[in-house]
Amino acid sequence: MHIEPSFHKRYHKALRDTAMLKAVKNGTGRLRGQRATAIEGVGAERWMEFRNRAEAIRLHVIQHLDQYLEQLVDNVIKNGGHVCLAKTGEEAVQYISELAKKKNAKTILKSKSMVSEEIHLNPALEQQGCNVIESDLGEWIIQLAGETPSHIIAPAMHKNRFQVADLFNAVSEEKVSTEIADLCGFARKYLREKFLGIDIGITGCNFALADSGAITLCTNEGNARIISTLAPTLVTVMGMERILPGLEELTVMLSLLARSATGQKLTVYNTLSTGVRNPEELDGPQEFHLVIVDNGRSKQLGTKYEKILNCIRCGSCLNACPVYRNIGGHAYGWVYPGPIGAVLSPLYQGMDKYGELAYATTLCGACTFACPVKIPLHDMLYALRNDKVELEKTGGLVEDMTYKGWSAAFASMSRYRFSIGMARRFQFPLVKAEKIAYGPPPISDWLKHRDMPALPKKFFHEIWRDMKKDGKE
Amino acid sequence: MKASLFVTCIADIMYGDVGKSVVQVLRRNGVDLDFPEGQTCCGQPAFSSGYYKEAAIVAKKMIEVFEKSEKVVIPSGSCAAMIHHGYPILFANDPIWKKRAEEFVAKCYEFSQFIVDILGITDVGATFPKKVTYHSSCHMTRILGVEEQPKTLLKNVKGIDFIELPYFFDCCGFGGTFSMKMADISGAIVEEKVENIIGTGAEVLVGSDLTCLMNIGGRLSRRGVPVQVMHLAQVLDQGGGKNAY
Ligand code: SF4
Repeated sequence: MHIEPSFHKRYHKALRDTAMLKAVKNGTGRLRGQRATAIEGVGAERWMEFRNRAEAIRLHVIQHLDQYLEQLVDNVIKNGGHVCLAKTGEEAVQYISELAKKKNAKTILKSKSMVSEEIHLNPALEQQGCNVIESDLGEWIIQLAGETPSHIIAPAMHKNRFQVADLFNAVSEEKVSTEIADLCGFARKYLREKFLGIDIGITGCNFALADSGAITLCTNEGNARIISTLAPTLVTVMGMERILPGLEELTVMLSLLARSATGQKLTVYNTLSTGVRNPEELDGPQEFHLVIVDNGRSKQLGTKYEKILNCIRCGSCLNACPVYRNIGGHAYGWVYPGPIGAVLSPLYQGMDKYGELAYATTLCGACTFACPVKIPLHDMLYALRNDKVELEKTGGLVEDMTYKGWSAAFASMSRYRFSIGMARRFQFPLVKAEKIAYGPPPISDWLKHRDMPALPKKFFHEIWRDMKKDGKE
Repeated sequence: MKASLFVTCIADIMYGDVGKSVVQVLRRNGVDLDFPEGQTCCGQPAFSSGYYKEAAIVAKKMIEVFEKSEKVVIPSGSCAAMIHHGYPILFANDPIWKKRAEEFVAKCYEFSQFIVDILGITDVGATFPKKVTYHSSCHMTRILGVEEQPKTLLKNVKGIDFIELPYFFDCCGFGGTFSMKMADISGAIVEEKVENIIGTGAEVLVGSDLTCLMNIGGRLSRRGVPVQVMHLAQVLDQGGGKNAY
């Protein structure tokens, strides 16, 4: 999938894609509605308690990340697994590619993993001749379409059932109808057969438990559980921050994750897997590899953005975001869209590449309030903008001039009153019936979609003076 | 009770009438109100764009202007939120100004918050027999935490037919410079808001933030939708009130 380098062009393309926008509005509308119902069920106060606890757990883990990582790695190895600590995405891809070569793997089945999308794992494996199949329904749909996920938990949210039927019919021998039940039925049958010939299974990781080395996988389709049961060689790819101390913390996170993501009380399948099978066990992998990916994460530790590592990838901030709802996920450009993506992309991939995303927000704060682990997303968006101004010494030429001029004028009442007086005097060519509908840049941008009231005959400070004169003071 | 009005730049420049209504409503309800000279803007435009230094220059000026005020009333949720949430960030590393900012923050109230929480009044005695809906602005509800006060005041207006706006908590798409920088996304968001407003069948849209109202009102005007847009103070100023002049 070709990705247009300019955010401006990407979102304009999105704004023209009416089918996609309709699907995204439906999808996000449903998810946030379900979430709201779930929270109502819990009660606002208790929900807040839950969030506070979850935040505290995540903060604690991130503050002691080195310790927990060490404990996790020790336990995975004790359980008979192998661990790869990958500093970069390339290192992780290389490790898995070499493993696939060594195993002479033909068929690789995957369950949903955003980190694998982040490090571009599939193309690398495909290039060396592996048949990589996504087993999560949404992931499989976008794989068939040759696209990337547009939503963290619903990767094919941007597609409607007609588009999905077209994709399925391209690989199906019999005609698949556009009915949801038929579509699901076909996907189930098609993918089930693939599970049997599996050489390597690759899963993501919702949470890794440090005290046992167990990997928690949450799916509604059960596909990750099948993979972790059937694959002779199992690879789990995880972001280095996705750790919890143990089961007690997991129970809190699981109930928050499900409710925030889809409004479910609990995800349908919650699988805890400790890696390789014991000699007396009949199933489970014979070999287990845990690939822990840094790829820009550790450099957030100790910075004002550290809390971004609290994220549990529930997708709730996407559904809450008015910008996401109106442009969909692909416009953001990197794997993680929405508010979390607008913060993560510049932090992990660089301001030069994704700095624009810090401006792809109305700063309404809906994301921060939707976040189950209380990441102050909108504060971080402010901070990123400030970083741009301070570190790059410019927020753009026009902006630099505007705000320097603004602060000079607005720090002094006389200069302020003089400037607004001038504006009132010279607005007349633009005013018609007390409003402005056409004008030069930059107000032309405002006027594209709305009118602007003309500056009135009297400013408030003049009205105040008159009120005083009238003896109403 | 003594209080000072921080009318905000948007009200001073664009909506003098709103300022006038604020004054009238507060005075009718027993407030001894003054309007300190030297006030301009809370600094939000620069702060939101990442220009903290420039914002701090103007913010310091406001702190000085209101130094002697006992309480400060602000008819704009986002400006009040800027002071409460933004000033501590601006002066986090400046102990002297941090302290002065904290003192300022502690006495700043949004208009409806001041009436309900400080004056303890939930019915100002206004009359407004119209079908009305209310847009909850983002910074006022989420950052300042003032959500119910304006609605309480509205619902107690005599003759009013209050209809809850679907998705009242959704952003209107203004977002400061966002509305110009990403005009087309902003346009799509405000269109959703306008559709929801039309759906209520309300004659009047009320809000507590003039920039949001300018955005929504501008879209309504462009589409020729005959919904009137009013600041809460203008509604509370209707029908004389109990201590009308
Ligand atoms: S930032 Fe918060 S709301 Fe967004 S995906 Fe992460 S945990 Fe969920």
